Amino acid sequence: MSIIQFRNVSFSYRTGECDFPALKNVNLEIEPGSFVLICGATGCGKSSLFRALNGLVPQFYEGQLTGQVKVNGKDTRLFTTRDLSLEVGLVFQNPDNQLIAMNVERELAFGPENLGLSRERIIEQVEYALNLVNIQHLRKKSPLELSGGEQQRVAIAAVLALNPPILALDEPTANLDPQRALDILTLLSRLKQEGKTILIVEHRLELVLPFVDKMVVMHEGRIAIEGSVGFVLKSQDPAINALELPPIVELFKNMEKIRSGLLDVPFSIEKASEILLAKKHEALKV
Amino acid sequence: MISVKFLEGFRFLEGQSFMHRIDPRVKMFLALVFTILALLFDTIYPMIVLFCLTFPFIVAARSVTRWFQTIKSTVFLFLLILISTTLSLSFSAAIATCLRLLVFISSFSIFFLTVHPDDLAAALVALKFPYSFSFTISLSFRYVPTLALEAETIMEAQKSRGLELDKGNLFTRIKNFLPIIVPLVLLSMRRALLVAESLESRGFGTSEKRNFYKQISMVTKDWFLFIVLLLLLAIGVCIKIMPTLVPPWFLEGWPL
Amino acid sequence: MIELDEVSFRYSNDAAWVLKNISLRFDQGEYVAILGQNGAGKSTLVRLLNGLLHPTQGNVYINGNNTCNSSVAELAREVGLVFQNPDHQLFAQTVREELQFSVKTLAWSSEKQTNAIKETLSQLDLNPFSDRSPFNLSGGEKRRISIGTIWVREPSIIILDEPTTGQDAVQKRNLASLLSRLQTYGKTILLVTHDIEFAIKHCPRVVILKDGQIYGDGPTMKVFSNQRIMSESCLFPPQIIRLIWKLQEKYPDLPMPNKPNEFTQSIENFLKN
Repeated sequence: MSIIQFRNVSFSYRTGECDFPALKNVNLEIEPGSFVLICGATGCGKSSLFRALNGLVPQFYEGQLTGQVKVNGKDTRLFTTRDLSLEVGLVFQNPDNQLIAMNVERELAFGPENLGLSRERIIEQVEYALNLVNIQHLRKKSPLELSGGEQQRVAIAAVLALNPPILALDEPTANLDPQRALDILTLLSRLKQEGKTILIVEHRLELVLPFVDKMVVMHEGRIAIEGSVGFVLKSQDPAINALELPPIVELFKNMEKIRSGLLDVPFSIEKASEILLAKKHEALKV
Repeated sequence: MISVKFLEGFRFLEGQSFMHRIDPRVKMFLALVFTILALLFDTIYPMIVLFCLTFPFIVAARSVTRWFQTIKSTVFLFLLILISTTLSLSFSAAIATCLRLLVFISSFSIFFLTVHPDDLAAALVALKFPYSFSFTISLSFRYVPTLALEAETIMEAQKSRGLELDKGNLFTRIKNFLPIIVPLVLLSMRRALLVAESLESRGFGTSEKRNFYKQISMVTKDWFLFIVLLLLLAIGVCIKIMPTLVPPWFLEGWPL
Repeated sequence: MIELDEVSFRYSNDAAWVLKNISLRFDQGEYVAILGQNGAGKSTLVRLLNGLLHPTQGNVYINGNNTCNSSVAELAREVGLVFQNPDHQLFAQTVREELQFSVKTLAWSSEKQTNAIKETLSQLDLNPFSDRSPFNLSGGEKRRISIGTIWVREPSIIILDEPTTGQDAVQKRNLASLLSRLQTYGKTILLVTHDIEFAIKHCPRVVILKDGQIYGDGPTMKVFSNQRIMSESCLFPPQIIRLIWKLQEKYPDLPMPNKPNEFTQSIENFLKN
């Protein structure tokens, strides 16, 4: 039973000048507990898909939505963003625009407070989020005192304070250097182990691919390819050209023309060296 | 006439002094009481008394240096007031006016030096102001430093294109701020939209009843100070209504 | 030519040193990537080059002139700094006006101004947008405009601060080819970035900064294939290099290619012999 379902979803933004079609007949199923990557060229519809998860599309961003989006069993046309925030937590690209309180504790309390929970529950949720993301040492700090990586961790915790089973992140590592980006991805992987479903929109495939169960490539509002990472990387679909493939993948794709018979295109150093060493071993035996 | 140092006495000072630990509502009341008392009287002796009464609070807030920086930076302003009031009224009235101004500055300074913006928001909520009002104030405090940083970056970017902000006549200088203001406004509007998105995604504005994570409550020392201030106010009002309670010279100015 | 002579910098007397005793030299026409983690001092270094900041100790020379003797506006004639976020610069009603603002402060004849604007619009493929508002254009187009607003001033040195952040593969390729094209005009191009894969593909020289100090400076392949430098500076080496190192564990004779575009050939040779 999928935790996220998109059935024939199309969406056009109503911008006043003209209607801008962002999603065209999107069908997608995501299993609970999976770590899914959504990627594609700028403007392919990834951000609109992301915002359709909690009803921002079409409630906050006006436009025509057809089809059905179901998140943890709830149809997004029948529930408000507030109700959906208990099912899916959205983390946006720039933590500076998400951290609105003057200290971390108050930030984490903000979501539960908004929902009118009792003071005891609010305190419970704040402690839960602080522990889950391992930021107890930051609890009294102001967002202005935190580094980019710390800020993004707090933004994630702020959303987890509502205890949603799904966490969706839109380019959460865009402003971070590779080391800090990896820290965030490792945190997300740990959250997946704890049972959360993770959906991430990303450009920097080299860092993300090792963490991902399923990869969805979008192109001009549609889903072009989806499946396991190995399956998608082997695809010849032109939508792949818009992706920044890890250099190892490009290397093997270049060599594929000459060396066929490779079952899967590797994207990690370990796998790549394994394959090459095996091939070398074969070549030496001959 | 007034330098930027003037603001030093109104910028929150990190600390654990007696005044820091007093409930923010009581501190609000303190500023209110001193303001009322300073407006009730206009002669020199009551002003001297009031001014001296602010002292123990400044000391209790361990913020004498900051307070002094503010006072120091207003010297020229005071000289101006002194001269103009002496010429129009009398020397003692001039001193009284200056002292009244000092009492205003001191009592508000105590408030802003010892009340963290977060506590201000909590105080407003405790006083039953609407949450949106308190949230607006908190959000402003939160984003002022961010916007200031953004403005600085914009200035650097435009200076790197040859913009000179300190050259030319007044008209040119104003025109030169357009390349700063336009990006700042546009970026702020964009930021507002993104912040709204994030707020919406966390259920903002959807509950009538809101319980708060942080609560402030009055303890013994808060009530004690509150009663002292109340008494002060009462004494002041009584003296105003029944001037016969005090010797006549107290309410008269100097014969100058 | 840019020269930093034992430059150290801190923001105030009680602040920590952001840059410590940096000595660097960039000759005219070089194309260099300056890499380092966030907080390594890259942004500070770049602001020292156009006079936004002055060194606390040491000297910075641009084409022989000490930056302390010139204003930012004067230095901006020779050093063009393209900021990371184009939205921090764009304010005019059309792209053409944006460029006009850039040249207005240079005291050129109006004929020279018009020519420079015309050339820039064509060199940066901005002609389709010349009379459009810069605000409604895409991220990649805005970035081209912001490079254009600096390019039109004909500086001898162009510095770009994190130009690849948030860009997809197509946009990055376009940016890379634009920069290569600009370099053929003889300008010095400095790229401040933490995108190591971009640096290895396009920049012949890299400088690595960590904690305000230089950890590596030299030809790109040489620096990136130096294990000590890469581990000390806490940067992830490019994937291909890490792959070769892994293969070298079993086959130490496998040579590291001299150029990034020789990788595929190297691996194929490895599999053949």
